[in-house]
Amino acid sequence: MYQRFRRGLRDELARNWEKINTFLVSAEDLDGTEIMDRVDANQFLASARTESEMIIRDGRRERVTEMISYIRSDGDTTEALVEFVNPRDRGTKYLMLDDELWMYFPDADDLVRISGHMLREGMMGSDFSYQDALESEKLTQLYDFLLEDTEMVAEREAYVIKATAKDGQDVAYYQRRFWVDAERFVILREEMYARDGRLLKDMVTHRVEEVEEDRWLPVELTMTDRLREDSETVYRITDIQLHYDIRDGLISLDSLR
Amino acid sequence: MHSKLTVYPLLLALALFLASVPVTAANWGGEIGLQTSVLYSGGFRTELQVHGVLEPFLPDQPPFSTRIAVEGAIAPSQAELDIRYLYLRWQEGSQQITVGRQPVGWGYGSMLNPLGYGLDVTGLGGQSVTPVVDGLRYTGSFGGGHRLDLVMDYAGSRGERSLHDLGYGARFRAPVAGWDFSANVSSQPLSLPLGPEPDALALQERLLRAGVSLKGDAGPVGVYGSLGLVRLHEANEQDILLQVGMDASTTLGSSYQRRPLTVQMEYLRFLGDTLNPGLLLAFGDDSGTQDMTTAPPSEDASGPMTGLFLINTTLQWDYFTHLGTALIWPVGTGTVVLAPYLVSDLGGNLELQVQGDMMRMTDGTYDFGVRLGLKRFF
Repeated sequence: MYQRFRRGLRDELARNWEKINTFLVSAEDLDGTEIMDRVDANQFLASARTESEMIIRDGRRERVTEMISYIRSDGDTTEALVEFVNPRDRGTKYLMLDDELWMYFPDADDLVRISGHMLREGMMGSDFSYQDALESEKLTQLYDFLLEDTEMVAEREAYVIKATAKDGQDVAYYQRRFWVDAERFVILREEMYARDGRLLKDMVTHRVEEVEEDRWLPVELTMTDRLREDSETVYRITDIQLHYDIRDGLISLDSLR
Repeated sequence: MHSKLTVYPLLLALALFLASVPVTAANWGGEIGLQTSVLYSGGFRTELQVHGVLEPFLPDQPPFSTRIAVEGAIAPSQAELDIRYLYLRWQEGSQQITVGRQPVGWGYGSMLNPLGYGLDVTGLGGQSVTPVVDGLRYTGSFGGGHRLDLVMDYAGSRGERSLHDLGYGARFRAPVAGWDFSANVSSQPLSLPLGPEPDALALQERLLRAGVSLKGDAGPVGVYGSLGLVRLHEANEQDILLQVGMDASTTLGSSYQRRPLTVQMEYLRFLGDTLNPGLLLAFGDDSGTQDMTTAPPSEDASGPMTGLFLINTTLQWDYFTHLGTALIWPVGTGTVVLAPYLVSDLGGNLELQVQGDMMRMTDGTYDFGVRLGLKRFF
């Protein structure tokens, strides 16, 4: 019986050797930029439709915002249309075109361009700023990355990546620190710092989902503003459809009505 | 509020549309609220009002869509029921035609839009007013954010309606090098009251406006402005209108828990001093139950209004609460209005609004009011 076990184990190792060997090679050879490139590749949404909710909690009060989003990217520029469907904000839409933000108000049947300085404000009063959403699509363009260490996060082995803003880049956070799942290449945790080293925000991923074979996305995460007490914003994707057939012109100023 | 909508063919078209949509497909929503006010103008008086909006959100039946909203208000001495929106929209590709009672917002980011169709007020003292018209609107999109709006409506507020009460306007809008550019033209009937009494005689005029507006960013600050020609046709008077404004935001220091503060200010005047910015207020509030906080021209004004200066500041106190103050200064009249406000989301789709306004009169006396409102969205 012992001989059969040894042969079985050897066969199993042979079948999975390429995967194991690749992982071991990855862990030794990847630098911070390569790891974040894989994260970007994982999170890259050529076209997608999501249904999601944002729950803002401050002490005992809570507000839920529900939205439907259409996202499209060609790798260089990302566009998104977000429509709110909860009673208070029903019909309000946001259109993000690269670094421009437009809002549509149903009671005016008109759209307004949002001033650039408002991009740093929280989306619908939350801890997620418009700039957070815009910058998350182009981290490798804005930051230099350094692999610092590996740690365990929620029983998952994670790379610890330190990111520093590149010279001349106007970014919301001068430094960031990412904990990236070493197998799935999703961000499990993130800290955002000001230039003087103050911790401004942190984000924790609570749940990830395998949306395609070997492709994982975070579907529930919490953002906390560390300069405020007893408050947080939970973002939860309730439905996601990748490779969604977004009709021509949907994510454009021309269709924002 | 509006008088009865009399576009019978529209009602017939809407009836046919609604007949094609199962009742169960409607997703009902709206709001209901209670407002109490304490006002002082030489003496105290109080007001109490219950108001609500009911709207069935119907699924589109391409190429048609519709919007129906009914609003009502009940006060101790009166009750009102009216249609806020009732329109049918046809859309094919980038062309769109809307018929019926509909909002026509031509705002471009200013608090007061002097070149809007009617009077656009956005975010002044926490309030917004969009003109609502009974008419026909064409919107064409030509790619790259280029858009043309053509509007025609039955306007006029007194007497029987006639073709002379027809208003019309056009707006071309385009993004230009990251800036939002608009060119507007409109011709609308205007009723200018000759006294403050509700039944005072009114001068029937036609207001012609043509101009351009621009909004964009100058570094960390938003800047905007508009320039146009305004003409009173019957009086044969005209003037050049200029509006400039800016908006900026900052985060208060750590001792204020880094609360975001936004400031917006703008100045409007007629360069030839022939016309008066108070002219625009004659459009009044046609949007229903929203109250305007701008001050009307006063008989007791120490002089004509030579300009209108507006400042609005908003502080995000926490995730749920905004505090703000609006300052409205009709330059040259000796009056000023200060309007603080608070809006707080109490959770469970319940919202608290507290609004105040204090008006300094030319004789040094003050009128003021405080309004407390509770609103539930569903």
